[in-house]
Amino acid sequence: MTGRALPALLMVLCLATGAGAEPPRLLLDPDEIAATLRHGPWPPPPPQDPSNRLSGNRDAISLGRILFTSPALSRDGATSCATCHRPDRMFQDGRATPAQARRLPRNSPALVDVAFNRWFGWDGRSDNLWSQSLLPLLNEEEMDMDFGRLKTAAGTAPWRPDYETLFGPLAYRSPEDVAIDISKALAAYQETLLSGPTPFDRFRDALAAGDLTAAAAYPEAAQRGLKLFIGRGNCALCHSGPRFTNGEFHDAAVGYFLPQGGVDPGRHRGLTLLRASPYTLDGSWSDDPDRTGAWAVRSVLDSHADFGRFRVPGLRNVARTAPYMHDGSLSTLGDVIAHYSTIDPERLHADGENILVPLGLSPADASDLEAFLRTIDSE
Amino acid sequence: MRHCPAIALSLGAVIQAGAASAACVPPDGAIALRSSGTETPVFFDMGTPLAPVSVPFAALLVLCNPADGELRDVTATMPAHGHGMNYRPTIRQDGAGAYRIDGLLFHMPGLWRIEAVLQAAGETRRYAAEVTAE
Ligand code: HEC
Ligand code: HEC
Repeated sequence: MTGRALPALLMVLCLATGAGAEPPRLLLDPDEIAATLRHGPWPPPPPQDPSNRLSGNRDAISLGRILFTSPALSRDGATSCATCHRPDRMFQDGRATPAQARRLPRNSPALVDVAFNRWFGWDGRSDNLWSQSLLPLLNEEEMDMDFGRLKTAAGTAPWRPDYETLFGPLAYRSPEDVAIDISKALAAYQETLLSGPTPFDRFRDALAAGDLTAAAAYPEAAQRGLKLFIGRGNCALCHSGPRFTNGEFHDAAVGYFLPQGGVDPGRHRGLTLLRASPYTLDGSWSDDPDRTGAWAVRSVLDSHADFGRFRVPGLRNVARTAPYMHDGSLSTLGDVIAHYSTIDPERLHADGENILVPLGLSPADASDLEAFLRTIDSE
Repeated sequence: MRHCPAIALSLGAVIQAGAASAACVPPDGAIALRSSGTETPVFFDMGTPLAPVSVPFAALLVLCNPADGELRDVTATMPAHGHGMNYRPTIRQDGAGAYRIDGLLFHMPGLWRIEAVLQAAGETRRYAAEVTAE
């Protein structure tokens, strides 16, 4: 829509900047401008989670921040959330997969902007942030606790007074209550991990405001890369919207065979775990009487194509979250682009979506696409 | 814009249907779903000409004549990619010949084919039209 008045303006801009040496240029046509606008605005309003009564609560956020780095929540007394979600690394760990993860080796996702998810985990096994935060506490390859141990740990932890201020005397809380209380405080904290606007957003906002001179200051290489992203590369079919993800599950031809044998069933198993969980938005542990958002878990459909599908990751700050993919198998952004450039259609589901084909990008195309991805960076 | 022909079509249908039955006043901008079995369309109103991408939305489905049948199912597929929606929408009757459909979610931009299955007197009829998600 906003694109309609632009051709004339573009002409004017081209004429006005005709002569001089290397004037900044806007390389997008009106359709591309319209497509670009759909990747914003950013940031969105802060997330709110009605299923967590502590969402937005300042005391809960500060308790959650303490818990996030507290090794008291692990059986070995040495592991915390921050071991794998490092605050100095966009809350991921820079490793392909965590050292201790052997059964289902998966890459630790960055937690910045995590609260905007519809599904959590590479396989979407949770539909809310607090239940996703409970899983590592109980997983034997992560913190390896159980409800009883968590309550015992809370009893001697330095943060016990803060806990009791929020939830009342520990003695009155059941072990399961304590586990969920901790998870909800962790979630309240993680909701505050939000990324700011990026050079891409400044470009997008300038386009939205019709300020083509400001827009033309966006590097030409990034503009060419953006044109590939929304055009021939088909990237925006899955990496859509302001977060550059549709939040759903697709097959991007990343292998799903595990090093120790067997396969990672991806979304297929995620749905089984989701349906078995008492901690969904539709369950009695939700604090939301209206069950907002529970439509998704109630109505999500199974598909045989879910096998080996993984959640489309958002691409904000992607340059700082290497390595990539659910198994951390691609080390650099250049590797990811080479993957899409030479993708092996044989590795895609036979009944697939006819979207991913080898793009055969030239070195110049590949470097433009990378230049674009690097501008979605809030640093 | 790609969706304009569809809207023009639906407005034409509104006028036709209006002539046929005074009770049939479909909402502005509703899309006409058509069936090969009958001239009379059913109307699908998303409240906006373009469906949102990856955001759940609701729509109203309105029959010109409640006797045309009972709504049994609503599906949407992407012909270009051979997939449907990842969620089953819920259908709730909302007056005679009117239904509210919740939990529609188009997870990719592009052309989606909406199909409504109506049943009347042992006969099943499929009504369809295409909409764009953007
Ligand atoms: C041993 C490393 C490790 C530890 C410790 C750990 N995580 Fe994770 N975290 C991961 C991995 C790996 C995944 C991806 C899991 C999957 O998809 O199967 C993940 C996923 C997540 C997600 C989902 C992110 C998304 O994008 O959907 C959240 C939220 C999360 N962790 C929070 C936490 C919290 C809170 C703690 C502490 C209670 C924690 N993690 C402890 C490795 C770890
Ligand atoms: C069919 C949907 C689809 C399309 C099209 C698509 N992607 Fe992806 N993308 C995914 C999925 C799914 C993953 C995760 C795959 C996995 O881990 O197995 C992913 C992962 C990525 C990652 C890694 C992010 C991370 O944090 O690990 C990057 C970068 C990326 N894609 C960029 C692109 C670019 C650039 C294009 C266009 C050339 C593109 N994608 C096209 C679905 C898609």
